[in-house]
Amino acid sequence: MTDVACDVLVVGSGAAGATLAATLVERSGLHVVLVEKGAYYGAEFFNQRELDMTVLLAERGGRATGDGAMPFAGGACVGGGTTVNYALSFDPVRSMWERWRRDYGVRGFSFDPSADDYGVEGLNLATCARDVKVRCNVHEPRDDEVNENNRLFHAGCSKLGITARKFQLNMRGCIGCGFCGQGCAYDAKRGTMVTYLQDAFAGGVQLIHHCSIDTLALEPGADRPRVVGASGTIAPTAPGSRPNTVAPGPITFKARLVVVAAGSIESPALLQRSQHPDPHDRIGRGLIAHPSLPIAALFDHPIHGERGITGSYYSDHFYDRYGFVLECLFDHPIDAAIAIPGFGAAHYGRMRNFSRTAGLGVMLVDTPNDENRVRWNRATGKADISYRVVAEDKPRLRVGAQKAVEIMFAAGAREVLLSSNEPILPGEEVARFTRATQADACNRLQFVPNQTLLSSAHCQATVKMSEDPSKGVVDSRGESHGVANLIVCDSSAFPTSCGANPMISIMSMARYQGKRIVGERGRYFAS
Amino acid sequence: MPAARIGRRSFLRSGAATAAALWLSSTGIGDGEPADSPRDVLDALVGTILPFDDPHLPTLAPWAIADRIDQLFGLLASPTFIASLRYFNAASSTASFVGLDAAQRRMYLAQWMLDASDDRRRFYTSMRSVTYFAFYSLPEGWPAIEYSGPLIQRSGVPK
Repeated sequence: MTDVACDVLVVGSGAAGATLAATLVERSGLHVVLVEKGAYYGAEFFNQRELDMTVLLAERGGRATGDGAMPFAGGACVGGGTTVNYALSFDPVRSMWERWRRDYGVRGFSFDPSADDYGVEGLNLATCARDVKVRCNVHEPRDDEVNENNRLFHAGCSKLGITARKFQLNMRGCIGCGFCGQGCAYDAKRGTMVTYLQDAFAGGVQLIHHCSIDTLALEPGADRPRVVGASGTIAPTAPGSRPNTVAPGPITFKARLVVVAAGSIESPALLQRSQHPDPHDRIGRGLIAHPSLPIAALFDHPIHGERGITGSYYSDHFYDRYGFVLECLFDHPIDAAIAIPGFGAAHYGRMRNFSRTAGLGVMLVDTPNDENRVRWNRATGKADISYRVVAEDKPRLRVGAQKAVEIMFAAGAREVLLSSNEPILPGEEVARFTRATQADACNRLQFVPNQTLLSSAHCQATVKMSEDPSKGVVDSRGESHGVANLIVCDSSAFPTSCGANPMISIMSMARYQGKRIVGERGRYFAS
Repeated sequence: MPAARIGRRSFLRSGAATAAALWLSSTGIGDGEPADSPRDVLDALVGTILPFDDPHLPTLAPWAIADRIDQLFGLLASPTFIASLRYFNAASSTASFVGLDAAQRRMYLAQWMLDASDDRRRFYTSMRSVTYFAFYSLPEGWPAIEYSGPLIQRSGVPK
């Protein structure tokens, strides 16, 4: 049995946890311990093979809704999602935070860079977002870094008068290998593993990986329970991982403050299995997925979308009206084969055109619904995920699919495929378009589970932040309404969708909460 | 294409196989059930999902990919998966999937792809995913699709 005592225990080393841990130790002298369930794989481990690199993913890439229809991708290693994402970096979307103020009573998080929220000098979201973007070298790719896949997307948008913008990317010295999603073998992607985690180490943070937190340790308090630590298990270090700082076996933590930053699937699951009070049945409810529909387009010339910077362009042209973003992305053969519909000779014929295929995705900012949720399943020892596209979101997703098809034909595609077997086109076994005038067939899509593939890589909003305990589990400080000394700080604390790919929003929030905790340290570490 | 990762070990173990086992128990299939082994059914399924008669496909037999599926996912050790294969194989009262010719197998699998039953579609997507996962992770399959693979040459992940 290993016993660890610290001022702050941070659970999760992804976008939120690593950023928060580093920020906590910048000037405070706090003793911070950062735990991560997954292994600590570094650049020396990443070998650019899809099969091998599934070890970086939650449930080795198999995490999905209970019906198996919708995969929920997520990092399960040090660095979390920032290790396995495509480096797409969006500023916090101000309109969403304003909506959260209005609908959920969220306070603080000022977008005024001169604001001193909570009386803490220089504390505001604008400054925190700027800090994060500087630390992670967020910038737009140069024109000469844009690969053919992205060039075609931009050209198609231009022909139709659809605005396309360059992504911002957290990279430095990218060589354009195209393997962002499998861990950057060159440390060019500036995820938390190579940025804030290194800052955390420099500030004295202890990282314990391979550490599953079984339960938070709650004790009775004056008006509500209070968390005093946690207990868990250290798994043997996986082959290829960097060494751990403690031996395998049971472990207990004593901490004056516990911050849960395990992401929108694992954070609610941890609260549920720790018997966190939930009088309004809010924990895990209202899961946001940003459901994404893959689209493939066949061209007559080589594209090799798997090479170069994966995502350089996106379009938010329809965002204000329909709430979707078209993101130009591509993938390697396994994921491509799964996304391309059908089977047998027809499917293999499409795969033989892999090098001449362009890809993009429609990503929807989805509407919260309480039936979309995460529940800890004690019997299976894992979180059950329930998600269905709600009725009011389907028309918006259909428009997104239609526009994507039109853009690809405008770019010169010979054939466009949706990742769907729904019979929306007469005589076609899969959703295969051969001319732009067929694009309105997308209006027939029903998004039938296991017939149309929608995937999620941006789960959010399962431990919502609200000043009203009937609407949220935590308040604007991230402090639990039901348990003292407990803060939740990750994408789960967003009340709804943050409105874009969430990495920078999460990191900015974590930076903000870290600065706030230090600025209000008397609130947590008085004695 | 955005990440679309499905059909791995935990997915199948907790998913289609369980569902199929439930139907099996509810439909009373058993009497007159085809005598084909689970491995025969898996080989036939793989041979339908991948066109082994295509000259561009690497010279691999369906059994080699089925071996790899079993090696990666450990499926044939799962009673629920075996039950789901048995259910799938009972194509009709007179024929098994294994007993069908190639065109008939294709038609039968397409029916499952489009079936109104959530569980049948789920079985189809699961089997399709594990097959493509096993096949397209093999470097032998990459030249025909003009995929050049990793830029760095490192040995596989330590086991």
